[in-house]
Amino acid sequence: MSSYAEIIYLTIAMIIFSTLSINTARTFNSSRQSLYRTEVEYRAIAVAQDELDKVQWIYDDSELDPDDGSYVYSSYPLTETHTYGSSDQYSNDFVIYAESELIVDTGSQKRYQVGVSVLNQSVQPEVFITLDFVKSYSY
Amino acid sequence: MNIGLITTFVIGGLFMISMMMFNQQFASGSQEFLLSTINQEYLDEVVTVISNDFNRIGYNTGTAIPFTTLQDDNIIFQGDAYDNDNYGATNIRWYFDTTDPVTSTPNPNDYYLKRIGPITANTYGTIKFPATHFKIKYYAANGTVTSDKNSVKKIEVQIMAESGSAYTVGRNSSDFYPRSVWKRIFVPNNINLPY
Repeated sequence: MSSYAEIIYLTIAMIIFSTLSINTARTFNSSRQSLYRTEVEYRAIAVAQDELDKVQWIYDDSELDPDDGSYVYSSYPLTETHTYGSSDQYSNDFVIYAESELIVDTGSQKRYQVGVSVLNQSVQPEVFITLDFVKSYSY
Repeated sequence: MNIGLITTFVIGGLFMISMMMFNQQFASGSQEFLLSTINQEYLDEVVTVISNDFNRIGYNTGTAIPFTTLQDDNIIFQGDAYDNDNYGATNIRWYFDTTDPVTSTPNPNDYYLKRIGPITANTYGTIKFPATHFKIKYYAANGTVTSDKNSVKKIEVQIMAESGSAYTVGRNSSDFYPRSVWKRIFVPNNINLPY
């Protein structure tokens, strides 16, 4: 090399290339986190749907009344561990919040809005899914 | 010996190796994301079909016990899958056929998950979905596992699907198949009537 200029050019080129490489790795990492997040959200939605399906079993409307002693959601939030895989080799913890609210009472009909929220903290920011269901009772 | 020339070759060689590694990482990462996304979307489609069928177990059949077969990877039940087809309530079967591997993909782990039931308004037949795991559990009203057709009130379905193609990682070029898992407990209305 005849002067230091070539070394400087080379150094600058390597710095630029390194910056490109780091930015690409960061982008990949972000995309990977999005993929994991999508997977967790999908499972959280299934857990929330499972919880809402249980409302179909509630034939006594007093169980959806927050002021009644038989209120089904008095012990919530609950933490459930769901296992997946051919030999249950994967597991995920979900925190389930649920509450019920009387929204219509006409004397001959009552409607309760049941809200179920599922929290999963395996990814950051955490996944929080909310689903609502309206159950009607006629007299 | 021209020291400058040798130095140039060394530095140039290192730079070229760095670029080749970067290119390989880029290709591998892009493959991984593409295959994972395609796999997740594919599983979503399978879940849509399964959810439609299982939520309609016993619908429009006139029978309180719509099940014919209850096994870990095979279920046959009666139900009216679609309102706008020319079939009423029919037999619908979902089973994981481990004797029928998927030969159109390089993945050695996938087999066909088969559905036999109404497909279109005038077609009744088999649809095949590549999957790597399919499991069904049956629960009674009190939450205990059962295999009695008269007692089943809840059905847990789990599906695992892997992409057909792999992406390679690492020095040994190991193959990885992106995998997605889904599990849901169905409580079909028509086997949970209060009367």
